[in-house]
Amino acid sequence: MDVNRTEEQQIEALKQWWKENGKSLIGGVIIGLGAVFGWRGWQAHLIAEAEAASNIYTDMIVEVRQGKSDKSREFANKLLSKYSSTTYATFASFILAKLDVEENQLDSAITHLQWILDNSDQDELKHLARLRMARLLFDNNKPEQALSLLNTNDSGQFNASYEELKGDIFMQQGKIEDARAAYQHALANNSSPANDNSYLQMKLDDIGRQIPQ
Amino acid sequence: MLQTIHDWASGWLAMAVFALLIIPFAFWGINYYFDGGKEPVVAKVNDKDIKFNQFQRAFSNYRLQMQALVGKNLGPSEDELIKQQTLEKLIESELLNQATKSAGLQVSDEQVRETIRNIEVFKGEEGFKKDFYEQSVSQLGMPPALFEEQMRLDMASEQLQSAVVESAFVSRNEAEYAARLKNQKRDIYYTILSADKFKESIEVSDDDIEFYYKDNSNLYIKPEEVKIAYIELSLKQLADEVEVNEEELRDYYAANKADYDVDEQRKISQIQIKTGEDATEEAIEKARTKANEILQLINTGKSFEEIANQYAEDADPNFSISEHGFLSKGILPEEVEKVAFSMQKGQVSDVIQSKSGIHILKLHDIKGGVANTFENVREDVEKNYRLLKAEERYFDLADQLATLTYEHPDTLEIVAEEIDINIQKSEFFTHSGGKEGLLAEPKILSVSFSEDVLINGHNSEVIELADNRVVVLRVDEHVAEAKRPMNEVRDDIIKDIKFTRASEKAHEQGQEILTQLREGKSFEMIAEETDVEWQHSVDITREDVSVNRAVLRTVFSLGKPKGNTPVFGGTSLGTGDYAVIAVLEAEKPESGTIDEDDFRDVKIQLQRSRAIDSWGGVIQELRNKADIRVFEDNI
Repeated sequence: MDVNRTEEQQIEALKQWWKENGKSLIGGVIIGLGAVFGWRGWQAHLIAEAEAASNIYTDMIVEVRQGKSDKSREFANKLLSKYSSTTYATFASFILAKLDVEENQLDSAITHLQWILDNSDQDELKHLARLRMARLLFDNNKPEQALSLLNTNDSGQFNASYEELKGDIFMQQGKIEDARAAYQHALANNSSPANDNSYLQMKLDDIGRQIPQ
Repeated sequence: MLQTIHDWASGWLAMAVFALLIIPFAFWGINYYFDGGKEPVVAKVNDKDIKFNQFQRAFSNYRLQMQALVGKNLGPSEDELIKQQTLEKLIESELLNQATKSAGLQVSDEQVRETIRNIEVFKGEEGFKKDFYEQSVSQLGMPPALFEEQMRLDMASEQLQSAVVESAFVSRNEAEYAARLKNQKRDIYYTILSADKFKESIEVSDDDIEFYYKDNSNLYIKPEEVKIAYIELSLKQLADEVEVNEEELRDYYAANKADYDVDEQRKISQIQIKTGEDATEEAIEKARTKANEILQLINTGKSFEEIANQYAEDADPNFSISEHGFLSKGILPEEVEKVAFSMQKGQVSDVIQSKSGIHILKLHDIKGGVANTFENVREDVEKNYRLLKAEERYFDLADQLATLTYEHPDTLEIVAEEIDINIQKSEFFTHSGGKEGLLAEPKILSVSFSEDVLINGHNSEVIELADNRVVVLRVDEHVAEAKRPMNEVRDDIIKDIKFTRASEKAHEQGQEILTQLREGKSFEMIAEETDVEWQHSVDITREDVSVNRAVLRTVFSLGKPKGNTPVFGGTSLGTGDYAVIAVLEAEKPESGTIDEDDFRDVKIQLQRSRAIDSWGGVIQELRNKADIRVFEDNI
């Protein structure tokens, strides 16, 4: 009897507790589950989006390798318009810039590279975009802009290429000694054995040795 | 024994090597396989470990590839290099995996499947075979799921790489500038001051010799040499020892008569109108009508060529006319063959119907078909008979050779006695071996100097050579690398001293002439005073073959003359001679004068180099940002 009463009391206490806290507990569980599934859903969505972009990218590279400019552009533009938050949009911009250069549309090519500088958060790709953009600014008769782009930013491990381009610009401006220094700097920093330095060497040779006095 | 070696080489090992060569990068960085445990770590890339097992597997795979590529065993120094490269590759691939992950690159299951399905090695005759694929991958010690995961990572890295590489460009300006540099020309005066003329007057004393020998003793080394003892087993030689008698030969010939008959072969031209196996009655009839039409034209005297010309223009894809070489039986469709082998030379057939279509044949020539007699082919019969008889013995002896030399690794005597073949001895030879015979075989050389044979003094394994020969060898005598005594190399030393001093003199003379030139002395005057002869070369290019390469390289590195003052310079040549050079004029092609071919070549070359630079920069940048630690002790 005693035992039963205690049980009854316990059940009563439990019911009371449930009355007070039940709703918040269920709510909590629902919110918790919701957060877990929501997060998973969001992750799944991101992956699905990246996979879709990845498929388009693969198709684009096939066209690029076959030299089919129109088809390549079609895929690239799709990546830029529909998947602009993915890295594939950055890749597409690189490709579009190249296609533009092949068709001598330097302004448009510069815009695509600028897009990368504005939107990408990957340093290695930004260094590359900056280098290529400076090259095109120089070709587009804007040597000063090109130089300031090359000078004001950290060039990371692309230092040698940056210096070589500076050398080209100095040469055109008639600053022979600056050009020599830039080329020498480029040659000294160009350490990778895979690099073909023959043109860089030709540029430096063309200035000539400093004749010891 | 030999059979096992052969099976082994053509079985899974060869298959593994083949697979490795075709999908080289699929095996780097096996990431998820060895988790847990207290396995040693060889390197850390950011927070990710590269485990010893993973390294070991990549190393042995890479080593196999290299071995297959080089075609010989690799030594310890090469192994060291391969270890370093393996580690670099693993680190690079881990860096790329981390980079593509943080960039959010994603390769879908479908893309992975598609790529694997298109890998040649996994294809049978009827395309991709799942069983075969899973089997091949497992043989490489990898469960398919892991292989696919690895594939996914590699494909993501490849996406990053293709974005960087395929987008590399070279602008028109840049290519033109480079082409103009490349096509530059120079007008030069130069002379080569001979070092030889100084040699006679150079006196070399005993003290000089001793001093030079002490200073340069590493130049006078007698390389390591060995002399080997070996047993060679050759099928050809065993065949020569086989005893033959006439009767056996005749029996052998009788049993293999068909092998000695030359098949009859016929040379035909064929006109075919294809109809395919499930063609309707109507289509066949139509083809037949057309064929009859053609046959009539032929009968009125038109040649096959004329028919070909006429019908090629009507562009029926089912119509073909072809000229075959000599064909044996069993190649043409049955119905066609029957006619082809019953026609007369020069004859044109009637219309023939086969499963594949309607045919008209013309027979041009017949050869072979004569049954031979024993006497005609006796020589061949005897040769084959001997080889056949010798083969059994060859395999048996080779088996004994392998077993006995393995069981008694310190001597060849036992096996020599057992199989009754003499032990032969070579001359002394160095790592570079001899010009012909056994010592010209790379396998023999590398085994002779291998650790087990040279240092441990064991018998070698059985070495298989071309033309059914096997060799087991051991080192008989070994002479280590040693300094050659001074007296023995005295003449060489004198020669070397003279060479060094003479080149110094030539260099000095060159400097004097250069000074005079810079002070304004004329070429003629210098020629008169110092007895040099000037060469005058006009319009030379970077690739000019008429001028010494070293001189040419210096010419183009001297820069351009300003105004009328030439640029002067000089360089020592490998012969000890010294070249004095004056560049009188430099010409760079004007812009717009580069021809299109040249322009395109330069552009392609530059673009390739840009692509390599870009990718190299990306890798370097990733490396630079990462925290990479290598634990050399664990390697």
